Amino acid sequence: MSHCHFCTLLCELPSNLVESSLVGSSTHGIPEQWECELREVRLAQQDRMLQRTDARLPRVDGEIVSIAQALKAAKEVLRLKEQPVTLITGDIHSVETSRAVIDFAAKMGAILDPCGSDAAFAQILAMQRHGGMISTFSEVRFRSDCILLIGDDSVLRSMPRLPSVLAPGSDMPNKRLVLMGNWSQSSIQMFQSLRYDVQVVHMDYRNFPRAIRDWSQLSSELQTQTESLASRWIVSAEYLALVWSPTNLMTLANDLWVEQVQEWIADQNSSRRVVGLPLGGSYQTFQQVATWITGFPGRMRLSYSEWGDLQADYRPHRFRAQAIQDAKPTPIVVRVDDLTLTQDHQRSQEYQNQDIHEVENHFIWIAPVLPVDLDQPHPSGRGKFPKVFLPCRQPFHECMSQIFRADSVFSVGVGSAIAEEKNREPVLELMNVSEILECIAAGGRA
Amino acid sequence: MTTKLSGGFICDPTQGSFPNEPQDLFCGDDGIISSPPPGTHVDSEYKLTNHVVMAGGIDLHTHIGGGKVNLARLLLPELYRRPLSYERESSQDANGLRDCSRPLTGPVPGTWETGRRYLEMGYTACFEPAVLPANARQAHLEMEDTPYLDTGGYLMLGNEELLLQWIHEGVPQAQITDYVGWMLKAHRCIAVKVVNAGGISAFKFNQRELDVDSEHARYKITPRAILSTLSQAVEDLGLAHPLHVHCSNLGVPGNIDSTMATIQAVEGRRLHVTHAQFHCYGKSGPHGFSSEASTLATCVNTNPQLTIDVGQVLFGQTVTISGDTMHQFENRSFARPRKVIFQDLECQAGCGVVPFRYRQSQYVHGLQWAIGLELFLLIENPWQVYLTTDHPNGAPFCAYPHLIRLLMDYEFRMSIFEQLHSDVRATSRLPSLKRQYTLDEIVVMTRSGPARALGLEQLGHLRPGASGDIVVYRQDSNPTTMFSRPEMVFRNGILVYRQGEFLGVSRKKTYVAAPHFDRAIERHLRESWNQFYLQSMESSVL
Repeated sequence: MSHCHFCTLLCELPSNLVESSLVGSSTHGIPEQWECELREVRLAQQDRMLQRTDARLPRVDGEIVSIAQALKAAKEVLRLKEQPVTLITGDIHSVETSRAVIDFAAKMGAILDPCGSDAAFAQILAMQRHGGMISTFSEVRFRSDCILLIGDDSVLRSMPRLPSVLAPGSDMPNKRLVLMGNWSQSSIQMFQSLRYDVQVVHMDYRNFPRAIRDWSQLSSELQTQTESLASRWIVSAEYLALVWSPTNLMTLANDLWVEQVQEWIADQNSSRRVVGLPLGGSYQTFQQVATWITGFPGRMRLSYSEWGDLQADYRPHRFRAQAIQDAKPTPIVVRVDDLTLTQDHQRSQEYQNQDIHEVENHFIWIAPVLPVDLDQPHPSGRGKFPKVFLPCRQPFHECMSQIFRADSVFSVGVGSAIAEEKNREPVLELMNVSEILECIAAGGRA
Repeated sequence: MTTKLSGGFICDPTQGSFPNEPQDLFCGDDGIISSPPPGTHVDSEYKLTNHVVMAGGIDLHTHIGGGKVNLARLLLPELYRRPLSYERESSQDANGLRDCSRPLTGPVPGTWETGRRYLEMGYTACFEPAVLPANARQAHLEMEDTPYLDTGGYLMLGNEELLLQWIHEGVPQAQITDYVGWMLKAHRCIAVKVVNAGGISAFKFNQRELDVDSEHARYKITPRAILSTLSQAVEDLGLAHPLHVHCSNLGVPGNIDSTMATIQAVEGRRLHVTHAQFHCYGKSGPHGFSSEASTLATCVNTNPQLTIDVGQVLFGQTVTISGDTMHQFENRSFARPRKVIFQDLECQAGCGVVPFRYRQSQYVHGLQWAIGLELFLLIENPWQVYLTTDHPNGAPFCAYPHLIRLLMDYEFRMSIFEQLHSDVRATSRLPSLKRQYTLDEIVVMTRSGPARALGLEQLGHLRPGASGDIVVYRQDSNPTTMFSRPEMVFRNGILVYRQGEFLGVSRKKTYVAAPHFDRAIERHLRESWNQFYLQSMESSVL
């Protein structure tokens, strides 16, 4: 068994799928229950990108250089005096990369805010203000007699196999499922095909916290007969599980939305069991590691004190990467992307069209592949190279790495079989992220 | 490489009583060695006149890793404060109540701080007592990131739906024993812990109480049956540490009855009752809440197969974290600050995080403080009682030097007792307990005893063959001062800490059990596994 790392569900793959991912070939002939369009697309994309050797070579100012020259140039960028702030950001997916950037940030006295924190902090801030009553995949699948899935089709685009994950086992009765929000017929059918009894409540999920606090108000919105049935399911459930994806929420203030939902869940537990299952995005592995090493989930400035203590200045509202990048003078930015493709489907599209021109001279990019089209520059004509590009091994593919599942509780090590295969036939001499950061920290600002 | 520690007072109760004559201690590459022949080259020598030398401390019950610990960190950013240097060291915490060696930055610090603060007090091995199977990888990752400390974990069983289903079906004891062995090996743990046997699962079925002889709503089995089955499995597997039990009815007035019933449930087998202070309450007295420490202490004194750790309460802000969702949920209204997290976990267990502030002026909190000390003082054999605060539940671990002084200094103990709620002062028997722990007894409770309880033959003593985890304290009449800051700490014979300075990193070990069991259990397990768990058996193995 291995795991697919293209979304945070981390589906286990039978060995024949692992073999096909090793060689990057088509995944035809796989059992139906393992089919996943996202995985197929991502696997093909990843293989295309990793095969481009010219995009996996170190560069300074766009020119191919030796790794030693690139490391030296990175150290020089980090020594620049006119930039008062060093920002470390990027798409960070593995425990190992998270550990490395935390240590690096502390050595640099840098602000650390990886990508995906906006969505993650909707959940984090709500928890820090109010707490929560939460659950995990196996628990919801086994114990819940009704699931209330809040959101829209974008949740399934990010996690295509979510219906399978929560589906009742063959020895269980059908599962009651209320889909709240804007769900397409194909999504509904997908659930129905997996032994869910489905009711759909077509309401704007942004109004859900207000509506559910005032049940009479909700009932008035549930006007049709089927929606009344949904209402009865919700009210009568012995173990109701509310599932949402903070990454896919599109409300005015996601943290307030989550907080209100959590408040309702907490109240309900005085008489019956109701739980929340927030589906973590790609940020969650970093969040876990940062919390256990520093005590905080991210958005912090790190440093080592003169007596060697790790110090964290946590500013959840101020230390946002985007705001810091937009500030003047521009910061030194070290971007670390440990995957060729980010796990977050939505952001992945933006990522590949990203315009990086604004920070070029103070920009160090560490990634498995430089995602700038070398043959066809960005159509806007603004796409430019980072000052320094340092290619790294890709976790889960070229080295064994560990990652957390979407319920943030279960973690797996991914990539041993794949890494072994790669090690037999090394294509490129690549370093791990931690090795690169150790090298450049040795000459960076203290 | 040979290191000589010369002229210190060796405090090792396994070799004789303290005080003794100044002695020399030698350390080689593999730990402590016998005195080499005269003329042997010594690579480094440390003169230790007026110093006490003892083995590294062992905390056998401290929450230092895993999901619930991380949730507690996440929940309370507002309680964080910047770390203090020694120069700015405060003898008291912000509440002015708990003289810590050096206050932590928060109730549950990060791994980096945890490792360093423990080493600063002379502790070199710590054990996370509640490792969930589903969360074991995370717990080990966190412990791996905790510098300087050897670590280990106790696997939390007794609330997994799979096990409860098997007990309900009446599968043979041998099958459950093999299951326990397989789970221990797969999740790389050293012992088995049960938290509120069956109660965490029962809470998922909306049961709000489960006494030792009550039936689980779904499985129709009792905690007594679970305890008996698991304790038999632990014996059959030959584990060094007995079943580590968090009893039913955590914190509930009158819970001494269920604690005694728990002890009876294991039918004379070895048993470790953890954070016992929280489990020996009566319901008499002016507030319907009283001490039953003497009942439990008498039981321990007459049953040598019983051990306990205390889980001492000390005053100030902390956060309680427990797998016992049922009772943590019951206590949610006491949360300070007013926010709580609960989690149902993977058909295996749960957790509850409730921030808490123990106040000296509050009757119940004052009595809890007194009950913990009564347990320490009433249990005659220090090999049966271990010094813990159940970090962070009773207090943060950095309060250990203060707790040691409470045990060694009657006058100091009374000076705090006199500040407690008048009803505590009127009813507690603590003033009559004039026992003062000796240094030997402290070393037993914090070193030799935990090492023996966990079967760690190389730890907890300074005889040839020991690991070379050595702590050097300057002698001081004030135990808080002495135990707050050692002069030197050696890990595996290498000096890693001296007078406030960390001198490098040390090798770390993870202690695991190596139980023998029939691999045929995997066939039974595979049949039941997918009924409950999303991840395969294979990916559950670390």
